[in-house]
Amino acid sequence: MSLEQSAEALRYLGLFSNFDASSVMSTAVYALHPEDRVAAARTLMREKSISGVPIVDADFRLVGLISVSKIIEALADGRLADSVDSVHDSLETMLACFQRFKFGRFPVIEEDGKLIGMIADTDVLSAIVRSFYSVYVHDQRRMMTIGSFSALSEKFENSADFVYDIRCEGLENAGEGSAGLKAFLQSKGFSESIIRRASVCAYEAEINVCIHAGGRGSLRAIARNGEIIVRVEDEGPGIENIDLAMKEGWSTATDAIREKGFGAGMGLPNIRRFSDHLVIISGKGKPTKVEMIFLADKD
Amino acid sequence: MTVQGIVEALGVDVAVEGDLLRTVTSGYTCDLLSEVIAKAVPGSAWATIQTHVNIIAVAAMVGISIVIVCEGRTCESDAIEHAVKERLTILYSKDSAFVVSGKLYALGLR
Repeated sequence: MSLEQSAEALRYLGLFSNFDASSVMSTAVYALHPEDRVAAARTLMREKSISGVPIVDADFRLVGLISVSKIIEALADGRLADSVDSVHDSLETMLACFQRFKFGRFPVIEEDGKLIGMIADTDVLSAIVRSFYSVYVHDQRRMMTIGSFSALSEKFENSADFVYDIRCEGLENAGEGSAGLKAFLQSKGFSESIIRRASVCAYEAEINVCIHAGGRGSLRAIARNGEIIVRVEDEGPGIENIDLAMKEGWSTATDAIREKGFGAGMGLPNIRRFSDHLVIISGKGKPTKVEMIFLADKD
Repeated sequence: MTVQGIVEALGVDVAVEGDLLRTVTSGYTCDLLSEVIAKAVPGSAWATIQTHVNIIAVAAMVGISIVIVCEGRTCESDAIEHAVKERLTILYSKDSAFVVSGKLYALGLR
């Protein structure tokens, strides 16, 4: 997958759409005053294991950044007793460096120039890793799956072959959408086995919307060239821990739901078993998107 | 074997008379809907103690030929209505699901 495709996939998946500097940055920031000595910067960096220190004025407005490489230069020149003001990078230089080197240490400032945090590449990485807790991709060909998910987005927006709005009060008409999907697939002449797999998975996903998401959501499918892609979406409250939800027997359904034979914790495991590719995107307090792909060649 | 054959052999109350000519090729006994939908094969006779409307949706999804509601339980009215619409036969048995399953097995279903 090219960098461009990755960026497109991420944008579509909405994975990092809620990322802004404030959610990524470290807020426990060590800063120096322009009049502090270079030696103080060296000590600070060594003690705190950081690779750069922002320089702020008395109002905590960012005036520059001193990096390890500048310290090394200062050491070589015997300028450790100089003020950091003499060796730090200007904001312009800093921006130019970031552009040139792609990665580094980004100070985060408010509009009035006040320093509120720092973003290092490790902060970005850990924010990405955190966000991946809310993604479950059932396939070793993970990138391929995300790639196809992304490529399909426009098809779903503009021309899904089957569309059903899930509007379920209680559990009364739960399963109506997947029954409709099954009939649609039969009318399209798909094989019995792929229809079975697709409609079972659609049913489980639809039931999940009815049980967990207030019965409000959508069930859509694209069925072309012998392949079926089903997407079920809702508006939340989302799956807090997808790894747990994928475990057989794990469920957050109420006793009343369980008495009816639902909530046995088999929904997502069944979907995993019967689909060829599965992407689940969710998180606590977020919408849930479940996309399942059924390939013809398995039959 | 047909649905008609099962109805006659079990000799229990018929709650809904659906398509009596449907073929019954296998059987499945379970009350967890996800298990039924995942594992019951089309053309099955399904023994359960569930009585609500969703069992009809599950039966339709799987292609169940006949449902036997066990333990003397009776279906809720919307389940009956739905079954009529789907032409799905529903029987009421006073036996446990275990006994019903044994009887179906004895009839040759596997």
